[in-house]
Amino acid sequence: MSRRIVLAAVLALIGCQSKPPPSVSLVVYGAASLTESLTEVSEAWSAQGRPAVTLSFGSSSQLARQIRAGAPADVFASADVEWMQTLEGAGALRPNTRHDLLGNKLVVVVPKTATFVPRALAELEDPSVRKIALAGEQVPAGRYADAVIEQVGRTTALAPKVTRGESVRTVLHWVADGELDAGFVYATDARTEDKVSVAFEIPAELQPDIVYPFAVLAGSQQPVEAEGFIAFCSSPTGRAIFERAGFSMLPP
Amino acid sequence: MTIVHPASAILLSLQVATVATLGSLPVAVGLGYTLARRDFLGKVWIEAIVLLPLVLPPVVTGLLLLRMFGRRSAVGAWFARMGMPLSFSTAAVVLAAAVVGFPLLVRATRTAFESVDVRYEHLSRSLGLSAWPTFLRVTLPLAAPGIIAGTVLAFTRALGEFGATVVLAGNVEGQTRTIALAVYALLETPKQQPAMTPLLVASIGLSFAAVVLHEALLRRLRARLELHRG
Repeated sequence: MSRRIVLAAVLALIGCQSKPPPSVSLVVYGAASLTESLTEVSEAWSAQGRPAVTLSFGSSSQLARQIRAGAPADVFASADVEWMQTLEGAGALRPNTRHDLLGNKLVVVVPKTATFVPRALAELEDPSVRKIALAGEQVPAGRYADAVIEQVGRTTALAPKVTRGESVRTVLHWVADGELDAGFVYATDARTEDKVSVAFEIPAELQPDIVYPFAVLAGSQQPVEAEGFIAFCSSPTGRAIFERAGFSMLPP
Repeated sequence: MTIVHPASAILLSLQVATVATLGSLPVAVGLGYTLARRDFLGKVWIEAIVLLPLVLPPVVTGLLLLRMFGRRSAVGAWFARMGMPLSFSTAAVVLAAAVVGFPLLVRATRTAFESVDVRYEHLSRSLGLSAWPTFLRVTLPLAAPGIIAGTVLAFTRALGEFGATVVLAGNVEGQTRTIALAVYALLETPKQQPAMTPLLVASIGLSFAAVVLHEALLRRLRARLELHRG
């Protein structure tokens, strides 16, 4: 009996191996803040009979490091220009495939249950705001938030309250859980989570230039499909999805 | 731009691992002794719960700790009011390190107590020492080498904690950025960082020294056991 099971298992394994390779899917690395929208775009893309998309989300810094270490990705969608430029400098991008597609805004969120809601950067110094979450110093969302705080000269004042998450989504999670009193996230992140509310938007004059560049990677085995995917992101279907999520489409 | 100070990360790691290990040692000794000498209803459950942090993915341990000791929990709220929040603080790093090291500590103390012949305890009692002095002057000294070996191992585990810490405490320079978290933060920076080298050297050096010490202690323990039997 047990020998028969083993035999069946072995045969099953052999069967798996001898199956023809499945049609190669496109591997897309996306900034954590793109999680929902890029998933939706990929589904729309595959629904049109194009190759399936395998998505991997994380902080842009993490993903860029993986790409530089040779991760087999076809497309990278970064949440800032700097990381894309680092990869470009390292020769990891396919030339002339980079498009700055999306724009975003930085906001401060608080838990829905918060009793004190700060309405400006200065009010973050209020003692009832005990802990503020920012993404890591090298994660785009953290970098943008640091720049804003520095511009208003409150880096030292807020430093004792700051805690840092691995990606902007960790920040969002902590605030949604009510563990922390406030967090710097993108406007689009705030929309994905019912348990947070936007306390205030970073004022226009301080608002960093948040740009999401997309590019095909030099190591891609299917650069044409990869470029097709990026084009699809800015097609009417793609635009509708990103705009619904709260992104702004940048002029080509 | 990045503010990773290797010296502060190494110092923080050592402080955290020391406080976490020594702080949980008395509890582990009590529990290890109880598990070694007593049978009671639900013992297997206690054993399983104590071992859990050893086998759970550390991020899961971190998330559970955040739910149990975060500011929204009763315990966490009380500690926060006392000015010692157990999440997103140095205390949180200690808590995470203590919890992941605890199973190793309990296992080692339990084995150490099990290796002490009960007849010595009976002899001591028959000679007029009561239970507590017998424990302190007979059982504990005999179990000490095993307990110390376990302490060293738990210390090393605490030193290397990452997953639970990053969830429960965040990655903040000078407060929660231990060696492991500093290495992770440096991995995210665009260029190769000179600060990486001292961190790696410290990490490997400390772990290696601790493991060597652990093995040396165990060897002494074994030698002594042979002597007893011989």
